[in-house]
Amino acid sequence: MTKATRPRLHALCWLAWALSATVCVLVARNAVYVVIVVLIAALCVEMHGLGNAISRAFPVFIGLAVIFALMRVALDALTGHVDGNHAWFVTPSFDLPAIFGGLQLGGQIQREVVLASSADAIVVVAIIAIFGAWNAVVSHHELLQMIPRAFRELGLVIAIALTFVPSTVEAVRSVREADTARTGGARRGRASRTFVSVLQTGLDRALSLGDSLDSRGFGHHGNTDRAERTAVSFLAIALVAVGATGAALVSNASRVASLMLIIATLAIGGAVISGSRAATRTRYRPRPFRKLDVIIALVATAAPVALAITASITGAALTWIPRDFEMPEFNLAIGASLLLLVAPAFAIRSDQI
Amino acid sequence: MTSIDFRSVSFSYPHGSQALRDITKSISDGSVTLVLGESGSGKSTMLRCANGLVPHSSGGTFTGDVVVAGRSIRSHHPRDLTDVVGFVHQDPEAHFVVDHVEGDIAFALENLGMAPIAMRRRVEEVLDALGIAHLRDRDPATLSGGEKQRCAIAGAIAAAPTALVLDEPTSQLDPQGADDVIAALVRLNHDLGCTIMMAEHRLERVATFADLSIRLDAGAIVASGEPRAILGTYDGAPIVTQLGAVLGWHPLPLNVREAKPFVANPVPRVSPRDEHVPNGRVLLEARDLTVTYNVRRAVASVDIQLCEGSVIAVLGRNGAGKSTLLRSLAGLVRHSGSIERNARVGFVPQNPNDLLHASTVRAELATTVRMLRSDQSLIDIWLERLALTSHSSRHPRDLSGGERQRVAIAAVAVGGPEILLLDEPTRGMDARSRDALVRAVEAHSARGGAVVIATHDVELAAACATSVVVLADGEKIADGSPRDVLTGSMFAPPLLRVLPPALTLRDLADLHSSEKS
Amino acid sequence: MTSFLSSLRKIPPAVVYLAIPIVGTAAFSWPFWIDTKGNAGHSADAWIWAALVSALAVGAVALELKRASMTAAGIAILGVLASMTGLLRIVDLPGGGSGMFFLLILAAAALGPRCGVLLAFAAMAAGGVITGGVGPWLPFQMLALAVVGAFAGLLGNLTSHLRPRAETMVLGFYGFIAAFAYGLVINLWDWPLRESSGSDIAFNSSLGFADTVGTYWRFYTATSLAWDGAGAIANSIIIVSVGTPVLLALRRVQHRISPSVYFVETTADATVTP
Repeated sequence: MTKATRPRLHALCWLAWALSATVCVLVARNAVYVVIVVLIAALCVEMHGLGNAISRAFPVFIGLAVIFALMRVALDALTGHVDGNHAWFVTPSFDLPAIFGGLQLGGQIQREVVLASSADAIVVVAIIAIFGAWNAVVSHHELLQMIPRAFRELGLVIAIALTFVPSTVEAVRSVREADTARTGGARRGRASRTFVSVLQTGLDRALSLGDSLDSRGFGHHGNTDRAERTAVSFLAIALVAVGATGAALVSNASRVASLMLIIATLAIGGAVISGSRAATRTRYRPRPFRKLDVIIALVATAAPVALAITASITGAALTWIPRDFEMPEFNLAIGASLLLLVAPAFAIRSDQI
Repeated sequence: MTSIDFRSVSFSYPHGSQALRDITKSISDGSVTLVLGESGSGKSTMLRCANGLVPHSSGGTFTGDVVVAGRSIRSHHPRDLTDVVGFVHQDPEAHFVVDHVEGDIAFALENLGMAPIAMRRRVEEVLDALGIAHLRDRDPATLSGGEKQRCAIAGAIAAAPTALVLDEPTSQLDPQGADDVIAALVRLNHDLGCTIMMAEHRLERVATFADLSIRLDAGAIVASGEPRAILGTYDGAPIVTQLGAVLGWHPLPLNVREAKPFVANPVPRVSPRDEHVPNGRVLLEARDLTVTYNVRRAVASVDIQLCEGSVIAVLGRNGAGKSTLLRSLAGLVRHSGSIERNARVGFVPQNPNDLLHASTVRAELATTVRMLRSDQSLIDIWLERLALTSHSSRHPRDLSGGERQRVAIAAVAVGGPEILLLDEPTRGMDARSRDALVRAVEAHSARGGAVVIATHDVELAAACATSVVVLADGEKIADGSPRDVLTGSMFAPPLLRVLPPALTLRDLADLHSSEKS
Repeated sequence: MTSFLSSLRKIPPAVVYLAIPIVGTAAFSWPFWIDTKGNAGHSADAWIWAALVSALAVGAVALELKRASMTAAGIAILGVLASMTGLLRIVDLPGGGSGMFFLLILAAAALGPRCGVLLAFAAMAAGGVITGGVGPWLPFQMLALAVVGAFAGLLGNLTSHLRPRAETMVLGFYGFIAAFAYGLVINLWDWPLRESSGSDIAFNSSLGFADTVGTYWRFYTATSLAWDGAGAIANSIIIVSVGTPVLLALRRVQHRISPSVYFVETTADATVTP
């Protein structure tokens, strides 16, 4: 398998794919459908993985998610006691003190509880898998470059943070070695000495880097007062709207909440655009959004839409709560709409292989 | 035409210390200027004034003015001077904003809002000007020090400034990396006419192409003029220049080539010191020492013996296994072969910052004493030996590179090890620190200790080693007294080339009467 | 119009910092107020809404942070700290990042609330990239950590004139509380995704507010209390033991974040440029 070192698809295209896939597994919670999406995610990593540490760690990432999910299932099994369920077996039990909810741990282990909990757990594993895949196929460098100019400070801090990771790791190694040699391997206070030393070295370097940023024109502005004022007023509107969304959500007024959310989104969008205009900064060699990216993003976004349409036409149930060991229902039309998500896996440009 | 104009500049840092006193100097366009002086003399501060980093980024009280290409730093922030002055500092680890060489070079251009097409072209040109086009897609973390510094210079000149200011750009580099950086700077000056103003320890490389040198002391200019006029009385001058000054050669030679003609007539008398072969108790004996990283043998079957009084200098290019040899002697890496230690071993790493964590120099030393329960009185002995007594209550991170290195050595030595292993101790050191180091090494070995120094600095080896070991590809290719090993070698220190068999100025017979302190 | 705009410019940052907890809490706590009797599956899109709201809140705060320009040294210092904090996240992955707390709290206490918020955002994002964990949960985590950072910064303003020993004790205590509060909130991200098991601790959208709170508390005690407790204790121990030198190191560089520059014409006539 040839692995690309540069992403073949635009990061935004992959973002559209990941969001569509997430919506699909949240809506179609049937275990079969969810497993299909996980397999598609794995296929995408196989075809598009960047060959870096994160993409190689994808199986490990899934493994951790599964372990995490199994722990939750075990916990559900120990705490789930619903009258009328079938008991599998009985374990010794004890009750937690009332302050901790007076929960009964152990006792009857019920089949329905375990099955339903497992079905839920798959959804959480799937979401983690989808974004694990996203992290494996997207260049974070490219993502940072895409951050709107209005957020340049935050973006720059993150970029610097990632640039300093190797030298920080190396500093930890060499400081530990130096300390071992100096104190004859005494452990008392070593973690503290190591940390303080690495921190001081890091801060020294930060001051040097600060000089370098300043002399390379960081924060160079043109005449941008007006754009900045517009950005500020958009921001004010956005803050009020976000606050109102929160309030409306709490008071359960979902229509008002959606309206406010839309206003907030628009206002923040406006603030970002005018805030970006306020900065004169340009971008070096931005990754173009090609026609292929648009097509793939559209096909992927079509998946949840197709899912909703086929579900309402065929009347097939999207969720599945198992009561016993049984095959989940499977509707071919819904399975087919999920297959739209596989589109990026085959979007390999011949000139880039 | 004037490029950078200092007009009676005085400056003090926020915490009160006066760093510059009434500096007035014009740097002419297209010239190369060297700023000389001991650490703490205000070199860095003066250089940082050239684009307003001092006082805009440092804070502090500023009097006078610096005018660069018609812009005053009183009214211009460094970011508004990007297109007239580029700045490069000494730490190769602290230049990069993004983990991509090409993207990092474009950073200044992005800030200035240059159009993408023009930006692309400029980055390509700068990559070629510095000869780093092959590094364009690399992550800076994977580059060598010399490559990092050249990428940093590329980033600094991306906005096509007329002047470039560098604060000890090669002090953290090995000789090869330093040569590459200097060669790049010479090219920038000769081909593009870029004005260069720099502080630098490796004067033998740069003195010949400098037009002006300025010597600072305690923040004031004490001398300025053509390098030959200044270097005769400067401690940090190249050794052949010092030799020329002592013997009254005129014009003063700045490198070996210029010194050669003077030797023939009359020949100065050389009375080499007796080579002292230490033959005391054996403190450490290593046999068939081999260290393997993955499949590569970093150290291959090396035998080494340390007696009381031995000072062994380990020479060799980068990656020859010098550091690994020291670390295996200190027991820090897995090795095969036998090491018999009859004395305690102290290891000082290459980067002094790895050891420093306390808030004063004395507390730093006290930590080791406390951890190893060694003798409290060693603290004052080593502070004295390494000329740190006057710094004992300062914060180690406020000190210069050479002073930090001395603090790191002291912090290990106060643990009382008989054997000291020093990895690249003279990196970034000025003349005063180097002298203090040589004296401390001599004092330690004279009292029955032993020292192993891994170094690129042949003059250090010539000055204090009792034997020299040369490594290549992990194998020992030479071992013997400094004079035997270094004579006729490409490694030979400049003095040995000019006046064999003299290793240091102390070997000059005429000098015994009028030796400098 | 201009006067309206200029009055908007004067919105105090405190409003924004106050808005984060409110909006954040609303976004996180939707399981408590949602009421979807007979409409199973609606919790799925509520989850997406909540993630959206928190992403918007992160955006709004980031915009507000931009309003006061940072100096280059400040950006570099935050970048290096975010690198270290992000790496510390590896120390404790499942707990949602308690390894990050002590440095975040100490840095925010030394450098102020604004830096605390920015550092929390950047550290969480960097940690997400390092561990490959960028996903819809990231805005939740950024917001929750930002609240921890903002309050640590406010607390730092009060404790800075205490004696070092007392200061680290106070911050250590805050670290203890913050680790619990963070754990309590962050567990809400995947809890509602698992409502069908019928377990006593599983989310059930048809319960009322009080019962949901009870269920969540049971869920929290069963799943995370011990874990978070261990984290919180470790946290306060670390803060107390390394707090003094770390605060000292941070305060040494603090003046570079907003340097005070004085230009003097002659000795008699001084002009001050902030």
